[in-house]
Amino acid sequence: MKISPSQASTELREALTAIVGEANISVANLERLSYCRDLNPMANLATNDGRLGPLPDVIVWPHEVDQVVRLVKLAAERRVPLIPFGAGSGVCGGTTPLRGGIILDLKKMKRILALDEKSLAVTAEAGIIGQHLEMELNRQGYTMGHFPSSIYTSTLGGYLAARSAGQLSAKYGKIEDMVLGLEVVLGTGEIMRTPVAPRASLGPDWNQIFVGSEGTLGVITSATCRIRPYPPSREFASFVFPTIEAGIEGMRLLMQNELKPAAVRLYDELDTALVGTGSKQGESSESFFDSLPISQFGNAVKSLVPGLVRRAERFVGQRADLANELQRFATKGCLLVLTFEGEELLTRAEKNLATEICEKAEGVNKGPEPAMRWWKNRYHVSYGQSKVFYHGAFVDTIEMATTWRKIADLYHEIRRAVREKAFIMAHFSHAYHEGCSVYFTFVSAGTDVEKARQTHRQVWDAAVAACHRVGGAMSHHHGIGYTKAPYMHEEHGQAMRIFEALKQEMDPAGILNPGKMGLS
Amino acid sequence: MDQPKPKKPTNVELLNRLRDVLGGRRVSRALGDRLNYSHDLWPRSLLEIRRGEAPYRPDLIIWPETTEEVSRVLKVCNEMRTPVVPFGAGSGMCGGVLPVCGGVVLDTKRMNHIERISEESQVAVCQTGILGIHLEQELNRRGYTMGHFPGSFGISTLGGYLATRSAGQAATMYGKIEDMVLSLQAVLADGTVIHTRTAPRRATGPDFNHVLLGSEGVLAVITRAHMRLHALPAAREFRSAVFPKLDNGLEALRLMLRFGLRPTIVRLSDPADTSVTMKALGLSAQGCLLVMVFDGRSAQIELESAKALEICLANGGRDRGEEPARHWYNHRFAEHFRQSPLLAEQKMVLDTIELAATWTNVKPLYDAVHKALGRQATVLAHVPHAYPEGCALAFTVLCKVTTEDEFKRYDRLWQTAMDAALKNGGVISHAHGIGRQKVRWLAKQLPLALPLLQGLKRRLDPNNILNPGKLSVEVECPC
Ligand SMILES: Cc1cc2nc3c(=O)[nH]c(=O)nc-3n(C[C@H](O)[C@H](O)[C@H](O)COP(=O)(O)OP(=O)(O)OC[C@H]3O[C@@H](n4cnc5c(N)ncnc54)[C@H](O)[C@@H]3O)c2cc1C
Ligand SMILES: Cc1cc2nc3c(=O)[nH]c(=O)nc-3n(C[C@H](O)[C@H](O)[C@H](O)COP(=O)(O)OP(=O)(O)OC[C@H]3O[C@@H](n4cnc5c(N)ncnc54)[C@H](O)[C@@H]3O)c2cc1C
Repeated sequence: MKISPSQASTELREALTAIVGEANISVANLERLSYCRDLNPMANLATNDGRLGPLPDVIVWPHEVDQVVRLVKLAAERRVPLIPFGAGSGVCGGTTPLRGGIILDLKKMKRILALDEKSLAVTAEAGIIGQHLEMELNRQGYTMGHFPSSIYTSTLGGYLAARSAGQLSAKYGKIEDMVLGLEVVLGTGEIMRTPVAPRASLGPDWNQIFVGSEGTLGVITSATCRIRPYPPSREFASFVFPTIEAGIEGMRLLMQNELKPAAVRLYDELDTALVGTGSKQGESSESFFDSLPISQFGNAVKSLVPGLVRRAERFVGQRADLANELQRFATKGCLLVLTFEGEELLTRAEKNLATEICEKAEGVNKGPEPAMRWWKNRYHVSYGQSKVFYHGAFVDTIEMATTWRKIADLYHEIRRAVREKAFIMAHFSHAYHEGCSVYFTFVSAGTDVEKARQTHRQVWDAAVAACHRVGGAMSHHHGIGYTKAPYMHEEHGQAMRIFEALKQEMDPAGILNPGKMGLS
Repeated sequence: MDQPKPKKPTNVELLNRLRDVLGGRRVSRALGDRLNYSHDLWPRSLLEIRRGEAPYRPDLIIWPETTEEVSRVLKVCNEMRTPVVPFGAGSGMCGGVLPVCGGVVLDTKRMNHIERISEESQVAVCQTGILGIHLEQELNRRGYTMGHFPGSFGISTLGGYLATRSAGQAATMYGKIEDMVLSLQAVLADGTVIHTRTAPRRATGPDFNHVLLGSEGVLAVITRAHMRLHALPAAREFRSAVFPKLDNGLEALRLMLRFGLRPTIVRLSDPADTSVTMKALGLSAQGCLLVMVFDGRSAQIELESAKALEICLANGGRDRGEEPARHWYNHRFAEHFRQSPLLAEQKMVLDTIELAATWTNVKPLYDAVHKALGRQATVLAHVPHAYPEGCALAFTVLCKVTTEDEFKRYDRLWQTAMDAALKNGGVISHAHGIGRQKVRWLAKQLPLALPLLQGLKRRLDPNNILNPGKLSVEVECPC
């Protein structure tokens, strides 16, 4: 493998070193390789194939906001791209250094700066890993309530920059619902600190402008977020609905009865068959892809697809249409998993009301076990996916959101648009009063990386077109990066003028994460 | 009536072009209209008016009915470099609609249709010129509520709420207006129509809704909104308690929300507010009166209201039963309108200063503001809404003035309150916005906000036609 040398001039390196010190800068190839991609599947596939995307020229690790200011000013003066980097767990190429330049890794800015117990607010530096922040809050008797599956490998700044959602978003909200105040270094080197208050009317809300900006408008250096007391009680409930429509209706009624469950997840028939609705089976299951095994599909599938267990991923990748037919065998209905947490007085009442609502809406009560099983395995699913890549296949996820009126349409339309090209299954999570998100996992493959890339692009083109046809958001919580950048104008139309104007004001030199998000 | 000569002769070309778009009847240059549309309810303007002074006057008032018409009139005004002031119902409290450069007032009130209600998603699609009360009445008829009840409910528009980030009495439960919006349609200065897309949440860049929310007419005319609805609650409970000191009441509120209770309304008065405002409504109490309203299913709210009361009692409160809360609820809009005769009277100034802070900061903030203002005026304060992280604080100030010193004293009250707020960790506005009035202090609270906003405006409205002189320190007129 040939690695092109770093383009960072000696002079630039010296200037950077003067800011962060010898120990906090690297031009070593090992680092340049490590920082050249995030976890977007196409980069994964290419890397497995020995191909590299663009590499950064230099990586720096600032320790404090003043250093960030100086780094940004330096980059602006020299017109060198600067890419804020959290933990690189993004799945849309948000940190890919498309035009080379400096990777600004924030992970050494990881202090918790203040815990205001009375006001239920924590202030932390942006580079702190989600799990570290959560563990420290737990120790003090609090939770942030933000549990993305990637919690071990992602940062507070990354959540904010990409509008992340945790598994308990129905209760605690997405990260944008948690943010109270930010410290941001703009592309000009100026520092913006937004005042911390529960609500304000001070013109446009700058927090909500930086949240979701994915490193294109400023570097988030610290944030104040809402926290809640660590929940003294937790309740679990599960229901099976005869159809996906009935399940969606159940979720809608829960949310519109003003209930605040913590987790709300509805699996489609296939996904339900894979996770299982019983109280025992699948207990040891490590991931979806471990649970693809036929045991759950019965003999019919066994005879239809010998060797499915071993070659599941490869199989589904190359014969997507057939695999999608598996849905026919998944006759168990659709599983809805609910958890409630908080003060016992309230969680018990909520669970009772939820049970009443779901049963009235054709849900068959399956007791707490399936929900408890999900709880136990809730971080495993994502990590199981990597195995798919060993077989030359790829897996990716599409997470979209729309209102209740359109959500079933969105689900069917996406499946229809994609099913020829990929094996696809879905669950509905992140429910809100007016709608919810739908999360598709699709698996496919190509005879070579180029073919795979084409298939991948075709799947996305078809899915986003379907989403825009039905009406909804093409991403609920993974963000845009560069992989979805081509769809930004379609998504926002003339409203992109606002984004362009913000970009020009906040990053006049155009150095912050260039080439992302459909900005010119 | 004779058409009196406008000071500056109206540009005939402008008049004709606007008439081409809207027809003759929806364009006015009548003096009566020009006077009516020359101010909002900023008490400082009212001082001017009662002296017979009104420094600003628009040249024309127009009443478009559709987004398309708004787009066409903005194009005309942009080409002719004419200021356009978006105008809802003019109930703003800080001079947001003052036509400081003259020009055209664009009254949105004929854009008052509820276009669609999705019962399934519980979303209403409305034009923004609809009065809050009309929207709510229609929703109620269909079994829904938006949950937004500002004191000015009957005299303010949806567009005004959105443009100022308004808060209603039930913000504790339903949030402020920015928490209720799913998407917006708006028209930029050059006539371009933009839409944000409707989805419960998204991760597709910055939230453009939040650029328009609070933009107070300077970036775009908001023409349509998708708003979240809620089913009308099945049951309602009232609870009241009285606390010896404000601290006790604040602590009770904090603990209720921390526990996870969700009252619809909480309103906590300080001793002066209890004995003046609440008394005027026919309630007698000593100390700090807390009224609470709980909405929802009966089993749920019985549970929650009982727990809330328990928390009050544990924090020094005494149970006052349902009646004070129910009584307040039934008279809750009268509160404001009882104040207006005071203003009409000479030699008196009256205003409301509303701030917000975290629980850690709120008591020091209250003390500081109260003390500073108390030297100059009678001060009544209350907590109108509370959140798990903190609450809003509303100070009603009134004092006697003379014709000579009324502006000086009025301005000094504000200077005093804003200084104290900035020094003690408060935000200078919770829900009324900035307008002409608070720009100076916004510059202190968020120094980068104004230059960034002006930069953004230069790019979206290069001729500076939209509401010039607002959210900006300088007044630069386009013409
Ligand atoms: C297995 C797995 C499971 C996942 N599960 C979830 C999930 O449940 N929910 C969810 O929301 N996401 C999930 N993700 C996606 C990913 O974890 C999130 O997008 C996360 O927010 C990224 O955080 P990060 O720190 O890794 O950011 P990075 O990937 O390093 O960066 C993401 C983007 O944010 C920018 N950025 C990062 N830090 C800053 C900063 N301080 N200032 C400005 N810009 C910055 C970067 O430039 C980039 O554009 C998952 C990913 C994986 C691999
Ligand atoms: C007695 C009384 C009680 C009040 N109580 C409350 C309260 O409880 N809570 C609260 O939040 N406020 C309250 N207010 C203040 C006021 O009612 C709010 O600020 C309200 O949002 C203003 O609405 P409006 O339609 O009257 O707007 P206007 O006063 O007409 O305009 C306000 C601002 O918004 C802009 N604007 C209006 N419509 C649009 C549009 N469609 N597009 C773009 N910009 C637009 C204007 O240019 C101006 O800058 C009260 C006022 C009074 C007089």
